[in-house]
Amino acid sequence: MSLSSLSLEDLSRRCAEDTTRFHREQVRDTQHCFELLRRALAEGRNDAFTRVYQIYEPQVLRWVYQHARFQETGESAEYFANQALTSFYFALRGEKFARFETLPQVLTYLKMCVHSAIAQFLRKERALQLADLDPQIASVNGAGVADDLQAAELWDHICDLLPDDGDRLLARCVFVQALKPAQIARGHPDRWRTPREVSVALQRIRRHLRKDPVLRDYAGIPAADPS
Amino acid sequence: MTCQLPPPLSDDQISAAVDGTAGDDVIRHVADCPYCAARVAAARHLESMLARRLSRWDCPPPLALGEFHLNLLNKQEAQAIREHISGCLRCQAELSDLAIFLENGLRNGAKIGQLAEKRSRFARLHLPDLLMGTVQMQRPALALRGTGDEPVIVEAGGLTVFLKLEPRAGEPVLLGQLAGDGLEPWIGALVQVWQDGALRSTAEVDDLGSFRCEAIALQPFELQILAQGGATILVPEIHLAE
Repeated sequence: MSLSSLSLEDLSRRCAEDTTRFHREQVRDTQHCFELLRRALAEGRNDAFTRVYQIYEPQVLRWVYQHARFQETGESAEYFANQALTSFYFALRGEKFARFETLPQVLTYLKMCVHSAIAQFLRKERALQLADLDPQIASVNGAGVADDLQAAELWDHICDLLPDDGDRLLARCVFVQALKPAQIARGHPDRWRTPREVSVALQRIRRHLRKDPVLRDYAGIPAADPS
Repeated sequence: MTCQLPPPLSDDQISAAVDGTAGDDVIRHVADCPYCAARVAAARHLESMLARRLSRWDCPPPLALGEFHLNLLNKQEAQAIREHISGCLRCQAELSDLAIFLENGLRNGAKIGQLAEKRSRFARLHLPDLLMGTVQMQRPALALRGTGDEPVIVEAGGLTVFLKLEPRAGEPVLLGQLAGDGLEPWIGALVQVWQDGALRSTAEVDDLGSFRCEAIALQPFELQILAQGGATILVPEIHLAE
């Protein structure tokens, strides 16, 4: 019987059995699961995707628990499993599935989606924490096109204020990547040998940025006071 | 306004106060001088604003970094990411985490520990892209009762979701329709119907904002609609009745 003639029920059952055998390190056939995934993603059949979700959710949960940074999030594993399977669905539906020829390739991508879900959450969490540090900053409403444009313009202006490559790199490390002096010195030993050198260079940049009338206006701060 | 305890704090003392590393003399000065306290507050606000506005602003999304790692990008995309990574310690760290994570292979993974807390697929509710749906129907049972009856109406973040049950032998079909301004991001969204803690059915929102979920059991369900951009509509409980 050809794969394409198998009913969804039969195909799902065989894929579930194959998956169990794989985890028991028994020989298994990968074609049923690959066909199920093909129907779900390439053909866009939601009934097939529901089966994919049901079969692979336990494995995805195990991967979430395996991730080194999962505990930092404080969220449930089920949340990340849902995020991973959802982004997997969006990323591989339609023609994009054609990039994959084997089941291990597809499942490696799914595992990558687990990492992506956790990493994305931690980035957002960091952005929210930065907003919380200053009560004057309006609530974060998620990154959108307008936010990206503002950030690009803001960064261009800072680059205009800091023509030196080293100063720009330092500003990027501090304001874009939120790195501490020790992390910066470790990551760029060719530029700064010690955290102290980073701090001294940073003081200079901060003085310069604070006095800029455009940045002060952007932040809603009155014109610079004499020091 | 001028400094009450001249001379005013220097720029470096202002920086130390912002960083929380200032000596006692600076701390006392800030406490007793409204002028210098205002300067510290302004400096803190400016730097917080820069950090918040610029945080990872041009970093590729984690999924793009993942596709780069798996060699799934075209030449130009890969080159752009390669150039970014060369100067970004955060993205380098994420890629390193991913490489280690994938090295562990596809089989099994960590044992799932005791589920001491109720399983939850929802992140903490203060995340801005989670929209809680509020059912608008006034009937106490809030039940979907079949064709001909009024739909259940859910409001979520300026959108309206109409839900109706189409009875079929044994397994009713849930029909849904999204309406409102800002519908565009929800076209192509993934609809999930959860019952008894398990995924029961999925569907995709079509070009007209409608969806159809098959094989629903006659029991309460939770509805999630996940847009590709990351926003989620969540309706925790809707009741069905014959």
